[in-house]
Amino acid sequence: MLNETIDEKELKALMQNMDRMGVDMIPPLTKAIEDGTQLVTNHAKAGHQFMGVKRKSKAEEEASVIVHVNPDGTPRFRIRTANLLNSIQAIDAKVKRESIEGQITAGMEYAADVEFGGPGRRAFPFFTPSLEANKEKIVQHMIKLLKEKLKSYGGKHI
Amino acid sequence: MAENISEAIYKALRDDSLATNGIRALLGNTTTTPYNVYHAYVPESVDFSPPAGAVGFITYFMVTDTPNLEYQSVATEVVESIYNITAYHKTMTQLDKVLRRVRYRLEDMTGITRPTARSTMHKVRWQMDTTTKWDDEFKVWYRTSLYKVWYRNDDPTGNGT
Repeated sequence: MLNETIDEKELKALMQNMDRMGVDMIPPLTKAIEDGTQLVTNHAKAGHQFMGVKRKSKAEEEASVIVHVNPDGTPRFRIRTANLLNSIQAIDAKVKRESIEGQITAGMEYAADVEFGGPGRRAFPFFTPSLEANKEKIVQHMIKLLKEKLKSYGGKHI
Repeated sequence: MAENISEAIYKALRDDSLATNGIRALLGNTTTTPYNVYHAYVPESVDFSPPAGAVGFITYFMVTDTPNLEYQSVATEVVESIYNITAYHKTMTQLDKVLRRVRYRLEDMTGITRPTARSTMHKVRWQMDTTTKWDDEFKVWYRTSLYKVWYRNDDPTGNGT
């Protein structure tokens, strides 16, 4: 499981300001987290190596398929199907006592091995790069939604 | 830039020659380069339990480099880099020892020789560990640790100066 917590100064200051004013931050933050998880999901899917099903896919696959082998030489792992790609899904955010959690799942049992690697195969990370690439965008989106909420209360963040 | 950060990480793992508790000793190879530390993946013909006794392996590679956009000038741009360090061993307790030693060498840059050109390493922090898994084909335990590295790019021209 990959975890990322956000600790940006501007976001913190804005939230403290809104807390002092008694503004309900949970709806905009929940929306921001859900938008963020969808962003990461889309990015992870776009970066996933999948040959496709169009006319020349088989030739492309055979030319560039990545095969790793078992100790006895039999093929072990190939990037070939869309099963892993299609199993990458964003889940609705969960509001907990002191946090809001966004989740993305990759449902295939070999998803962790693709992400982190293992014996006989190197890693092909798809989650970590997507999370890192979108972290800043998620923070900016949170700030934007919070400011909109604050404005609707007649407040202003300096 | 990233390549000399990778080199610093690699050497911190490969060159730990402390008797008994150093990485070379824990992996069971104190004599032959690269002392069972490999980039990205172990060789296909690796034997995790040769006749002389079980050995371990470590792989390392950079997963992502992301600029910290809080800093606006190239001269002060800090990059956050994530490294995947995966250890393999036939014995789970030995696997734990290897990754504990890796954490000692990398965190706070205890065992790292900082690059002297093109980049400045600021900090290394352990980020997370995955679950320990058993591979039934290779008969080996393995676990990945992710580390975050912060460094400054001192080579804005990209020509090595």
